[in-house]
Amino acid sequence: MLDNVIIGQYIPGTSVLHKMDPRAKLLGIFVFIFVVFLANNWLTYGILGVFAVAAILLSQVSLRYMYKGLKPIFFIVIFTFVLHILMTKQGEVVYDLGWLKIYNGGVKQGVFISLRLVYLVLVTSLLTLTTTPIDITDGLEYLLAPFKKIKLPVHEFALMMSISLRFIPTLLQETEKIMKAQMARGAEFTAGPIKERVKAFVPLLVPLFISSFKRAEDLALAMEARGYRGGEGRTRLRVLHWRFRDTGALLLLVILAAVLVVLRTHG
Amino acid sequence: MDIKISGLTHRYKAGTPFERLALHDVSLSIPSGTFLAVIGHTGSGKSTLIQHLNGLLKPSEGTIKVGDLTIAAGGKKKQLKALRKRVGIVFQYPEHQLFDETVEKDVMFGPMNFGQSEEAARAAAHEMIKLVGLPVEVLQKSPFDLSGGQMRRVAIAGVLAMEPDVLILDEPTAGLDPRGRKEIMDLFRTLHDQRNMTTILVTHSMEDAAYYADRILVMEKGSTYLEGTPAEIFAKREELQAVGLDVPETVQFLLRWQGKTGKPAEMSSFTIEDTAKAISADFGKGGSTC
Repeated sequence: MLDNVIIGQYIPGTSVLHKMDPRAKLLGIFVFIFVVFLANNWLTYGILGVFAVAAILLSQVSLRYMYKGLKPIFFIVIFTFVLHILMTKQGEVVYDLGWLKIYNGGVKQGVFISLRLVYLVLVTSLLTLTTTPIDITDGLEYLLAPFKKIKLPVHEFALMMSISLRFIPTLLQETEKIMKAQMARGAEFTAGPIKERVKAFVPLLVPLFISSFKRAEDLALAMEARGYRGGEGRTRLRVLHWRFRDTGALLLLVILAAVLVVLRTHG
Repeated sequence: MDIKISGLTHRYKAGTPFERLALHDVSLSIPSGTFLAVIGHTGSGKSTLIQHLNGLLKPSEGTIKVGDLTIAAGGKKKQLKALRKRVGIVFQYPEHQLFDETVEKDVMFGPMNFGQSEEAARAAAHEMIKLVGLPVEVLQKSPFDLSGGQMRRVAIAGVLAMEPDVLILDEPTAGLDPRGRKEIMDLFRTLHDQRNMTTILVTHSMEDAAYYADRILVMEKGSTYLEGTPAEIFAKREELQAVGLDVPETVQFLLRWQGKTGKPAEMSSFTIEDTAKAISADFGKGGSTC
Protein backbone atom coordinates (compact mmCIF):
# COMPACT_ATOMS: atom_id res chain seq x y z
CA MET A 1 0.00 0.00 0.00
CA LEU A 2 2.99 2.28 0.51
CA ASP A 3 4.25 1.43 -2.94
CA ASN A 4 2.20 4.29 -4.36
CA VAL A 5 4.08 7.12 -2.73
CA ILE A 6 6.42 8.55 -5.33
CA ILE A 7 7.26 11.87 -3.71
CA GLY A 8 10.92 11.77 -2.75
CA GLN A 9 11.63 8.77 -4.97
CA TYR A 10 14.45 9.07 -7.44
CA ILE A 11 14.41 7.10 -10.67
CA PRO A 12 17.87 6.81 -12.21
CA GLY A 13 17.98 7.83 -15.84
CA THR A 14 19.87 9.71 -18.52
CA SER A 15 17.17 12.01 -19.88
CA VAL A 16 17.64 15.72 -20.50
CA LEU A 17 15.87 16.45 -17.26
CA HIS A 18 18.19 14.13 -15.35
CA LYS A 19 21.22 15.90 -16.77
CA MET A 20 20.02 19.41 -16.07
CA ASP A 21 21.69 21.42 -13.36
CA PRO A 22 19.70 21.04 -10.13
CA ARG A 23 19.85 24.81 -9.65
CA ALA A 24 18.09 25.29 -12.98
CA LYS A 25 15.49 22.72 -12.02
CA LEU A 26 14.88 24.32 -8.64
CA LEU A 27 14.59 27.79 -10.14
CA GLY A 28 12.37 26.35 -12.86
CA ILE A 29 9.98 24.80 -10.34
CA PHE A 30 9.93 28.04 -8.39
CA VAL A 31 8.99 30.01 -11.50
CA PHE A 32 6.51 27.35 -12.59
CA ILE A 33 4.61 27.60 -9.32
CA PHE A 34 3.89 31.25 -10.12
CA VAL A 35 3.26 30.58 -13.79
CA VAL A 36 0.54 28.08 -12.92
CA PHE A 37 -1.39 30.87 -11.25
CA LEU A 38 -1.34 32.94 -14.43
CA ALA A 39 -3.65 30.55 -16.25
CA ASN A 40 -7.33 31.42 -16.01
CA ASN A 41 -9.06 30.11 -19.12
CA TRP A 42 -9.32 26.89 -21.10
CA LEU A 43 -6.60 27.88 -23.55
CA THR A 44 -4.01 28.81 -20.94
CA TYR A 45 -4.73 25.70 -18.85
CA GLY A 46 -4.41 23.69 -22.03
CA ILE A 47 -1.00 25.19 -22.77
CA LEU A 48 0.15 24.42 -19.24
CA GLY A 49 -1.10 20.86 -19.65
CA VAL A 50 0.88 20.43 -22.86
CA PHE A 51 3.91 21.81 -21.08
CA ALA A 52 3.53 19.44 -18.10
CA VAL A 53 3.05 16.37 -20.31
CA ALA A 54 6.01 17.40 -22.46
CA ALA A 55 8.15 17.65 -19.32
CA ILE A 56 7.09 14.17 -18.23
CA LEU A 57 7.85 12.76 -21.67
CA LEU A 58 11.25 14.44 -21.61
CA SER A 59 12.01 12.90 -18.23
CA GLN A 60 11.39 9.40 -19.63
CA VAL A 61 9.46 8.48 -16.51
CA SER A 62 6.55 6.26 -17.57
CA LEU A 63 3.16 7.96 -17.63
CA ARG A 64 1.67 5.00 -15.83
CA TYR A 65 4.07 5.47 -12.97
CA MET A 66 3.24 9.18 -12.73
CA TYR A 67 -0.43 8.33 -12.70
CA LYS A 68 0.09 5.89 -9.84
CA GLY A 69 1.92 8.61 -7.96
CA LEU A 70 -1.03 10.96 -8.42
CA LYS A 71 -3.46 8.52 -6.86
CA PRO A 72 -2.89 9.57 -3.24
CA ILE A 73 -3.80 13.19 -4.05
CA PHE A 74 -6.94 12.30 -6.00
CA PHE A 75 -8.92 12.64 -2.81
CA ILE A 76 -7.77 16.22 -2.34
CA VAL A 77 -8.43 17.00 -5.99
CA ILE A 78 -11.95 15.62 -5.86
CA PHE A 79 -12.61 17.41 -2.59
CA THR A 80 -11.57 20.75 -4.07
CA PHE A 81 -13.60 20.10 -7.18
CA VAL A 82 -16.76 19.33 -5.22
CA LEU A 83 -16.19 22.30 -2.94
CA HIS A 84 -15.98 24.63 -5.92
CA ILE A 85 -19.07 23.20 -7.54
CA LEU A 86 -21.05 23.71 -4.36
CA MET A 87 -19.72 27.11 -3.38
CA THR A 88 -19.29 29.04 -6.63
CA LYS A 89 -22.45 30.72 -7.86
CA GLN A 90 -21.50 32.26 -11.19
CA GLY A 91 -22.77 31.91 -14.72
CA GLU A 92 -25.78 29.89 -15.79
CA VAL A 93 -27.42 27.09 -13.90
CA VAL A 94 -26.51 23.85 -15.65
CA TYR A 95 -28.16 21.48 -13.21
CA ASP A 96 -31.00 22.09 -10.81
CA LEU A 97 -31.83 19.73 -7.99
CA GLY A 98 -34.13 22.18 -6.29
CA TRP A 99 -32.14 22.56 -3.08
CA LEU A 100 -28.89 22.59 -4.99
CA LYS A 101 -28.07 24.55 -8.09
CA ILE A 102 -24.90 23.85 -10.02
CA TYR A 103 -23.59 26.77 -12.04
CA ASN A 104 -21.33 26.44 -15.04
CA GLY A 105 -18.99 28.96 -13.40
CA GLY A 106 -18.61 26.53 -10.52
CA VAL A 107 -17.84 23.58 -12.76
CA LYS A 108 -15.30 25.67 -14.65
CA GLN A 109 -13.68 26.91 -11.45
CA GLY A 110 -13.60 23.37 -10.04
CA VAL A 111 -11.91 21.96 -13.12
CA PHE A 112 -9.36 24.78 -13.16
CA ILE A 113 -8.37 24.50 -9.54
CA SER A 114 -8.13 20.70 -9.77
CA LEU A 115 -5.94 21.01 -12.86
CA ARG A 116 -3.78 23.54 -11.05
CA LEU A 117 -3.22 21.07 -8.21
CA VAL A 118 -2.45 18.22 -10.58
CA TYR A 119 0.04 20.31 -12.56
CA LEU A 120 1.81 21.44 -9.43
CA VAL A 121 2.13 17.92 -8.06
CA LEU A 122 3.20 16.49 -11.41
CA VAL A 123 5.93 19.03 -12.05
CA THR A 124 7.25 19.11 -8.51
CA SER A 125 7.41 15.32 -8.32
CA LEU A 126 9.37 15.42 -11.56
CA LEU A 127 12.02 17.33 -9.66
CA THR A 128 12.58 14.57 -7.11
CA LEU A 129 12.09 11.81 -9.69
CA THR A 130 14.91 13.09 -11.87
CA THR A 131 17.26 14.60 -9.27
CA THR A 132 19.15 12.79 -6.56
CA PRO A 133 18.56 14.16 -3.05
CA ILE A 134 22.21 15.17 -2.89
CA ASP A 135 21.89 17.23 -6.06
CA ILE A 136 18.75 18.91 -4.77
CA THR A 137 20.40 20.01 -1.56
CA ASP A 138 23.59 21.06 -3.31
CA GLY A 139 21.50 23.18 -5.61
CA LEU A 140 19.52 24.65 -2.73
CA GLU A 141 22.66 25.49 -0.84
CA TYR A 142 24.03 27.40 -3.82
CA LEU A 143 20.80 29.23 -4.42
CA LEU A 144 20.40 30.21 -0.78
CA ALA A 145 24.06 31.15 -0.33
CA PRO A 146 23.29 34.91 -0.42
CA PHE A 147 21.28 34.52 2.77
CA LYS A 148 24.41 33.51 4.65
CA LYS A 149 25.19 37.24 4.78
CA ILE A 150 22.25 37.75 7.12
CA LYS A 151 23.42 34.84 9.29
CA LEU A 152 20.91 32.32 8.03
CA PRO A 153 22.25 28.79 8.69
CA VAL A 154 22.02 27.82 5.03
CA HIS A 155 24.43 24.92 5.20
CA GLU A 156 22.72 23.40 8.21
CA PHE A 157 19.37 23.86 6.55
CA ALA A 158 20.57 22.12 3.39
CA LEU A 159 22.05 19.31 5.45
CA MET A 160 18.80 18.90 7.35
CA MET A 161 16.94 18.71 4.08
CA SER A 162 19.24 16.17 2.55
CA ILE A 163 19.02 14.00 5.65
CA SER A 164 15.23 14.12 5.65
CA LEU A 165 15.03 13.38 1.94
CA ARG A 166 17.52 10.59 2.32
CA PHE A 167 15.48 8.98 5.09
CA ILE A 168 12.05 9.10 3.47
CA PRO A 169 12.52 5.74 1.72
CA THR A 170 14.17 4.27 4.81
CA LEU A 171 11.28 5.37 6.96
CA LEU A 172 8.78 3.95 4.50
CA GLN A 173 10.61 0.63 4.50
CA GLU A 174 10.73 0.62 8.25
CA THR A 175 7.01 1.41 8.43
CA GLU A 176 6.25 -1.45 6.14
CA LYS A 177 8.44 -3.80 8.13
CA ILE A 178 6.83 -2.96 11.46
CA MET A 179 3.36 -3.02 9.92
CA LYS A 180 4.04 -6.52 8.70
CA ALA A 181 5.37 -7.62 12.07
CA GLN A 182 2.26 -6.29 13.83
CA MET A 183 -0.06 -7.71 11.18
CA ALA A 184 1.58 -11.08 11.76
CA ARG A 185 0.52 -10.61 15.38
CA GLY A 186 -3.06 -10.05 14.29
CA ALA A 187 -3.15 -6.25 14.14
CA GLU A 188 -5.39 -4.71 11.49
CA PHE A 189 -4.71 -1.34 9.97
CA THR A 190 -7.26 -1.18 7.23
CA ALA A 191 -10.47 -2.50 8.71
CA GLY A 192 -12.80 -1.76 11.58
CA PRO A 193 -14.38 1.40 13.00
CA ILE A 194 -12.37 4.62 12.89
CA LYS A 195 -11.71 4.65 16.64
CA GLU A 196 -10.21 1.18 16.52
CA ARG A 197 -8.14 2.07 13.52
CA VAL A 198 -6.61 5.10 15.21
CA LYS A 199 -5.74 2.89 18.16
CA ALA A 200 -4.25 0.34 15.81
CA PHE A 201 -1.59 2.84 14.84
CA VAL A 202 -0.05 2.99 18.30
CA PRO A 203 1.82 -0.32 17.81
CA LEU A 204 3.16 1.13 14.57
CA LEU A 205 4.06 4.65 15.69
CA VAL A 206 5.84 3.82 18.94
CA PRO A 207 8.44 1.54 17.32
CA LEU A 208 8.85 4.01 14.46
CA PHE A 209 9.59 6.89 16.82
CA ILE A 210 12.02 4.82 18.80
CA SER A 211 13.94 3.66 15.76
CA SER A 212 13.99 7.18 14.32
CA PHE A 213 15.57 8.59 17.46
CA LYS A 214 18.00 5.72 17.53
CA ARG A 215 18.90 6.31 13.91
CA ALA A 216 19.38 10.04 14.48
CA GLU A 217 21.78 9.30 17.31
CA ASP A 218 23.72 6.79 15.22
CA LEU A 219 23.94 9.24 12.36
CA ALA A 220 25.19 12.04 14.58
CA LEU A 221 27.80 9.73 16.01
CA ALA A 222 28.92 8.56 12.58
CA MET A 223 29.23 12.15 11.38
CA GLU A 224 31.27 13.19 14.37
CA ALA A 225 33.47 10.12 14.02
CA ARG A 226 34.30 11.31 10.51
CA GLY A 227 35.16 14.79 11.70
CA TYR A 228 32.12 16.67 10.48
CA ARG A 229 32.19 20.25 11.74
CA GLY A 230 29.68 22.19 9.70
CA GLY A 231 29.91 23.96 6.37
CA GLU A 232 32.77 26.37 7.13
CA GLY A 233 35.54 25.91 4.59
CA ARG A 234 34.10 22.65 3.32
CA THR A 235 35.00 21.79 -0.27
CA ARG A 236 32.88 19.76 -2.60
CA LEU A 237 33.46 16.40 -4.20
CA ARG A 238 31.09 17.17 -7.02
CA VAL A 239 30.83 20.63 -8.53
CA LEU A 240 27.66 21.70 -10.29
CA HIS A 241 27.91 22.76 -13.95
CA TRP A 242 25.57 25.31 -15.44
CA ARG A 243 25.22 24.61 -19.14
CA PHE A 244 23.51 26.22 -22.09
CA ARG A 245 20.51 23.92 -21.83
CA ASP A 246 19.90 25.15 -18.27
CA THR A 247 19.69 28.75 -19.45
CA GLY A 248 17.54 27.53 -22.32
CA ALA A 249 15.09 25.75 -20.02
CA LEU A 250 14.65 28.84 -17.88
CA LEU A 251 14.17 31.01 -20.99
CA LEU A 252 11.51 28.59 -22.13
CA LEU A 253 9.69 29.07 -18.83
CA VAL A 254 9.88 32.85 -19.18
CA ILE A 255 8.44 32.57 -22.69
CA LEU A 256 5.70 30.32 -21.32
CA ALA A 257 4.92 32.93 -18.69
CA ALA A 258 4.82 35.68 -21.33
CA VAL A 259 2.49 33.63 -23.54
CA LEU A 260 0.17 33.00 -20.61
CA VAL A 261 0.12 36.68 -19.70
CA VAL A 262 -0.94 37.53 -23.26
CA LEU A 263 -3.52 34.77 -23.60
CA ARG A 264 -5.13 34.89 -20.19
CA THR A 265 -8.52 36.49 -19.80
CA HIS A 266 -8.12 40.02 -18.59
CA GLY A 267 -10.59 42.01 -16.61
CA MET B 1 0.04 -28.60 9.64
CA ASP B 2 0.92 -29.54 6.08
CA ILE B 3 2.06 -26.74 3.82
CA LYS B 4 1.90 -27.05 0.08
CA ILE B 5 3.17 -24.38 -2.27
CA SER B 6 2.58 -24.74 -5.97
CA GLY B 7 3.77 -22.57 -8.82
CA LEU B 8 4.33 -19.57 -6.55
CA THR B 9 5.58 -16.47 -8.38
CA HIS B 10 5.92 -13.03 -6.86
CA ARG B 11 6.67 -9.71 -8.52
CA TYR B 12 7.56 -6.72 -6.36
CA LYS B 13 6.18 -3.33 -7.38
CA ALA B 14 4.50 -4.66 -10.48
CA GLY B 15 3.92 -1.95 -13.06
CA THR B 16 6.64 0.44 -11.87
CA PRO B 17 10.20 1.00 -13.09
CA PHE B 18 11.30 -0.93 -9.99
CA GLU B 19 9.49 -4.13 -10.91
CA ARG B 20 11.44 -7.17 -9.81
CA LEU B 21 10.76 -10.87 -10.00
CA ALA B 22 11.40 -12.08 -6.46
CA LEU B 23 10.06 -15.62 -6.70
CA HIS B 24 9.75 -17.71 -9.79
CA ASP B 25 7.58 -20.82 -9.98
CA VAL B 26 8.38 -22.20 -6.54
CA SER B 27 6.75 -25.51 -5.67
CA LEU B 28 7.37 -27.07 -2.32
CA SER B 29 5.70 -29.38 0.12
CA ILE B 30 6.37 -29.20 3.85
CA PRO B 31 4.77 -32.07 5.76
CA SER B 32 3.42 -31.35 9.24
CA GLY B 33 6.07 -31.57 11.95
CA THR B 34 9.02 -30.80 9.71
CA PHE B 35 11.85 -28.56 10.91
CA LEU B 36 12.86 -26.94 7.64
CA ALA B 37 15.82 -24.64 7.21
CA VAL B 38 15.82 -22.25 4.26
CA ILE B 39 19.26 -21.10 3.22
CA GLY B 40 20.42 -18.98 0.32
CA HIS B 41 22.31 -15.91 -0.64
CA THR B 42 20.99 -12.44 0.27
CA GLY B 43 18.24 -11.61 -2.21
CA SER B 44 17.57 -15.21 -3.13
CA GLY B 45 13.91 -14.89 -2.17
CA LYS B 46 13.93 -16.49 1.28
CA SER B 47 12.15 -13.64 3.05
CA THR B 48 9.67 -13.20 0.23
CA LEU B 49 8.82 -16.88 0.39
CA ILE B 50 8.10 -16.96 4.11
CA GLN B 51 6.00 -13.80 4.00
CA HIS B 52 3.63 -15.60 1.66
CA LEU B 53 3.05 -18.31 4.23
CA ASN B 54 1.06 -16.00 6.45
CA GLY B 55 -0.49 -13.76 3.86
CA LEU B 56 1.69 -10.69 4.32
CA LEU B 57 2.46 -10.91 0.64
CA LYS B 58 0.04 -12.22 -1.91
CA PRO B 59 1.17 -14.43 -4.74
CA SER B 60 1.31 -12.91 -8.22
CA GLU B 61 0.69 -16.42 -9.49
CA GLY B 62 0.28 -19.82 -7.87
CA THR B 63 -1.26 -21.05 -4.62
CA ILE B 64 -0.25 -21.71 -1.04
CA LYS B 65 -2.06 -24.25 1.06
CA VAL B 66 -1.64 -24.21 4.83
CA GLY B 67 -3.72 -26.98 6.32
CA ASP B 68 -7.17 -26.50 4.79
CA LEU B 69 -6.68 -22.80 4.00
CA THR B 70 -5.71 -21.84 0.47
CA ILE B 71 -4.22 -18.52 -0.54
CA ALA B 72 -4.30 -17.86 -4.26
CA ALA B 73 -3.50 -14.90 -6.48
CA GLY B 74 -6.31 -12.37 -6.11
CA GLY B 75 -7.81 -14.29 -3.20
CA LYS B 76 -10.11 -13.01 -0.48
CA LYS B 77 -8.92 -11.07 2.52
CA LYS B 78 -11.09 -12.79 5.10
CA GLN B 79 -9.01 -15.91 5.40
CA LEU B 80 -5.91 -13.97 6.27
CA LYS B 81 -6.67 -13.59 9.95
CA ALA B 82 -7.29 -17.31 10.35
CA LEU B 83 -4.06 -17.96 8.52
CA ARG B 84 -2.10 -15.57 10.70
CA LYS B 85 -3.43 -17.24 13.81
CA ARG B 86 -1.93 -20.50 12.63
CA VAL B 87 1.33 -19.19 11.27
CA GLY B 88 3.51 -17.10 13.58
CA ILE B 89 6.49 -15.19 12.23
CA VAL B 90 9.48 -14.08 14.23
CA PHE B 91 10.98 -11.42 11.98
CA GLN B 92 14.58 -10.32 11.81
CA TYR B 93 15.34 -8.12 14.79
CA PRO B 94 11.89 -8.76 16.29
CA GLU B 95 12.67 -6.42 19.21
CA HIS B 96 11.87 -3.54 16.83
CA GLN B 97 8.20 -4.42 17.04
CA LEU B 98 7.86 -3.92 20.80
CA PHE B 99 5.65 -0.97 21.64
CA ASP B 100 3.55 -1.36 24.76
CA GLU B 101 4.04 0.06 28.26
CA THR B 102 4.81 -3.25 29.88
CA VAL B 103 6.26 -6.51 28.69
CA GLU B 104 3.11 -8.28 29.79
CA LYS B 105 0.84 -6.10 27.65
CA ASP B 106 3.15 -6.46 24.70
CA VAL B 107 3.16 -10.23 24.85
CA MET B 108 -0.64 -10.20 25.26
CA PHE B 109 -1.05 -8.08 22.11
CA GLY B 110 -0.99 -11.05 19.73
CA PRO B 111 -3.32 -13.43 21.58
CA MET B 112 -5.85 -10.67 22.24
CA ASN B 113 -5.89 -9.67 18.58
CA PHE B 114 -6.89 -13.22 17.82
CA GLY B 115 -9.81 -13.07 20.21
CA GLN B 116 -8.37 -14.58 23.39
CA SER B 117 -9.80 -13.38 26.68
CA GLU B 118 -7.66 -11.13 28.84
CA GLU B 119 -7.11 -13.86 31.46
CA ALA B 120 -6.09 -16.42 28.88
CA ALA B 121 -3.73 -13.96 27.23
CA ARG B 122 -2.20 -13.04 30.58
CA ALA B 123 -1.70 -16.71 31.42
CA ALA B 124 -0.05 -17.22 28.04
CA ALA B 125 2.21 -14.24 28.65
CA HIS B 126 3.37 -15.65 31.98
CA GLU B 127 3.98 -19.08 30.50
CA MET B 128 5.89 -17.80 27.47
CA ILE B 129 8.08 -15.39 29.41
CA LYS B 130 9.26 -18.30 31.55
CA LEU B 131 9.68 -20.44 28.48
CA VAL B 132 12.02 -17.97 26.78
CA GLY B 133 14.13 -17.92 29.93
CA LEU B 134 13.21 -14.60 31.51
CA PRO B 135 12.16 -14.07 35.15
CA VAL B 136 8.47 -13.25 35.68
CA GLU B 137 9.44 -9.90 37.20
CA VAL B 138 10.18 -8.44 33.77
CA LEU B 139 6.48 -8.69 32.91
CA GLN B 140 5.76 -5.44 34.73
CA LYS B 141 8.76 -3.60 33.28
CA SER B 142 8.79 -1.46 30.19
CA PRO B 143 10.24 -3.44 27.29
CA PHE B 144 12.50 -0.47 26.53
CA ASP B 145 14.28 -0.83 29.87
CA LEU B 146 15.54 -4.29 28.97
CA SER B 147 18.80 -5.27 27.32
CA GLY B 148 18.87 -6.10 23.62
CA GLY B 149 18.96 -9.84 24.23
CA GLN B 150 16.08 -9.65 26.69
CA MET B 151 14.03 -7.57 24.27
CA ARG B 152 14.59 -10.22 21.63
CA ARG B 153 13.25 -12.86 24.01
CA VAL B 154 10.21 -10.77 24.86
CA ALA B 155 9.44 -10.30 21.17
CA ILE B 156 9.77 -14.03 20.60
CA ALA B 157 7.46 -14.69 23.54
CA GLY B 158 4.98 -12.32 21.91
CA VAL B 159 4.82 -14.54 18.84
CA LEU B 160 4.82 -17.81 20.80
CA ALA B 161 1.92 -16.58 22.93
CA MET B 162 -0.29 -16.79 19.86
CA GLU B 163 0.30 -20.55 19.97
CA PRO B 164 0.84 -20.95 16.26
CA ASP B 165 0.90 -24.36 14.61
CA VAL B 166 3.54 -23.20 12.18
CA LEU B 167 6.44 -21.10 13.44
CA ILE B 168 8.53 -19.15 10.97
CA LEU B 169 11.87 -17.78 12.12
CA ASP B 170 13.66 -15.21 10.00
CA GLU B 171 17.24 -15.19 11.25
CA PRO B 172 16.12 -15.17 14.87
CA THR B 173 19.64 -15.10 16.27
CA ALA B 174 21.13 -12.30 14.15
CA GLY B 175 23.18 -9.99 16.36
CA LEU B 176 23.14 -12.21 19.46
CA ASP B 177 26.22 -13.47 21.25
CA PRO B 178 27.17 -17.16 20.80
CA ARG B 179 25.58 -18.22 24.07
CA GLY B 180 22.37 -16.36 23.35
CA ARG B 181 22.27 -17.91 19.88
CA LYS B 182 22.55 -21.41 21.24
CA GLU B 183 19.96 -20.84 23.95
CA ILE B 184 17.44 -19.40 21.53
CA MET B 185 17.99 -22.07 18.89
CA ASP B 186 17.79 -24.85 21.50
CA LEU B 187 14.55 -23.31 22.69
CA PHE B 188 13.07 -23.44 19.19
CA ARG B 189 14.12 -27.03 18.69
CA THR B 190 12.66 -28.08 22.06
CA LEU B 191 9.41 -26.24 21.33
CA HIS B 192 9.27 -27.88 17.93
CA ASP B 193 9.60 -31.34 19.42
CA GLN B 194 7.30 -30.79 22.40
CA ARG B 195 4.47 -28.96 20.70
CA ASN B 196 4.44 -30.88 17.48
CA MET B 197 4.92 -27.71 15.49
CA THR B 198 6.07 -27.16 11.95
CA THR B 199 9.09 -24.88 12.02
CA ILE B 200 10.67 -22.97 9.18
CA LEU B 201 14.02 -21.37 9.89
CA VAL B 202 15.59 -18.84 7.55
CA THR B 203 19.27 -18.62 8.31
CA HIS B 204 22.67 -17.71 7.00
CA SER B 205 24.35 -20.13 9.35
CA MET B 206 25.10 -23.45 7.70
CA GLU B 207 25.93 -24.79 11.16
CA ASP B 208 22.47 -24.00 12.51
CA ALA B 209 20.80 -25.41 9.43
CA ALA B 210 22.82 -28.62 9.68
CA TYR B 211 22.39 -29.05 13.39
CA TYR B 212 18.78 -28.07 14.01
CA ALA B 213 16.86 -28.83 10.83
CA ASP B 214 15.39 -32.08 9.51
CA ARG B 215 15.29 -30.82 5.97
CA ILE B 216 17.02 -28.01 4.13
CA LEU B 217 15.82 -25.90 1.22
CA VAL B 218 18.39 -23.94 -0.76
CA MET B 219 17.05 -20.93 -2.63
CA GLU B 220 18.82 -19.19 -5.50
CA LYS B 221 17.56 -16.25 -7.57
CA GLY B 222 13.95 -16.77 -6.53
CA SER B 223 13.80 -20.48 -7.29
CA THR B 224 14.36 -23.63 -5.31
CA TYR B 225 17.89 -24.85 -5.97
CA LEU B 226 18.32 -27.89 -3.75
CA GLU B 227 16.14 -29.65 -1.23
CA GLY B 228 16.89 -32.56 1.04
CA THR B 229 18.14 -33.73 4.42
CA PRO B 230 21.20 -31.95 5.85
CA ALA B 231 23.35 -34.96 5.01
CA GLU B 232 22.17 -34.90 1.38
CA ILE B 233 22.57 -31.16 0.98
CA PHE B 234 25.99 -30.87 2.55
CA ALA B 235 27.32 -33.73 0.48
CA LYS B 236 27.06 -31.36 -2.51
CA ARG B 237 29.80 -28.90 -1.72
CA GLU B 238 30.42 -27.78 -5.33
CA GLU B 239 26.76 -27.00 -5.93
CA LEU B 240 26.63 -24.97 -2.71
CA GLN B 241 29.78 -23.05 -3.50
CA ALA B 242 28.41 -22.22 -6.95
CA VAL B 243 25.70 -20.12 -5.27
CA GLY B 244 27.93 -18.52 -2.65
CA LEU B 245 27.25 -20.98 0.17
CA ASP B 246 29.37 -23.65 1.74
CA VAL B 247 29.20 -26.70 3.98
CA PRO B 248 29.29 -26.29 7.79
CA GLU B 249 32.63 -25.90 9.51
CA THR B 250 32.50 -29.43 10.89
CA VAL B 251 32.15 -30.88 7.40
CA GLN B 252 34.88 -28.58 6.09
CA PHE B 253 37.14 -29.91 8.80
CA LEU B 254 36.27 -33.51 8.02
CA LEU B 255 36.87 -32.98 4.32
CA ARG B 256 40.35 -31.62 5.01
CA TRP B 257 40.97 -34.45 7.44
CA GLN B 258 39.98 -36.85 4.75
CA GLY B 259 42.31 -35.12 2.30
CA LYS B 260 45.25 -35.47 4.66
CA THR B 261 44.66 -39.03 5.84
CA GLY B 262 43.13 -40.41 2.69
CA LYS B 263 40.47 -42.16 4.74
CA PRO B 264 36.82 -41.67 3.77
CA ALA B 265 34.84 -40.17 6.62
CA GLU B 266 31.13 -39.95 7.35
CA MET B 267 30.04 -36.45 6.23
CA SER B 268 26.93 -36.14 8.35
CA SER B 269 28.59 -35.06 11.61
CA PHE B 270 27.26 -31.62 12.32
CA THR B 271 28.27 -31.17 15.95
CA ILE B 272 31.72 -30.74 17.39
CA GLU B 273 31.17 -33.93 19.41
CA ASP B 274 30.22 -36.03 16.39
CA THR B 275 33.14 -34.67 14.44
CA ALA B 276 35.51 -35.51 17.26
CA LYS B 277 34.05 -39.01 17.39
CA ALA B 278 34.46 -39.45 13.66
CA ILE B 279 38.09 -38.49 13.92
CA SER B 280 38.81 -40.53 17.01
CA ALA B 281 37.23 -43.47 15.23
CA ASP B 282 40.06 -43.16 12.72
CA PHE B 283 42.51 -43.16 15.59
CA GLY B 284 40.46 -45.75 17.39
CA LYS B 285 41.73 -48.45 15.12
CA GLY B 286 45.12 -47.80 16.69
CA GLY B 287 43.53 -47.73 20.13
CA SER B 288 44.24 -44.11 21.02
CA THR B 289 41.76 -41.42 22.12
CA CYS B 290 41.96 -37.68 21.82
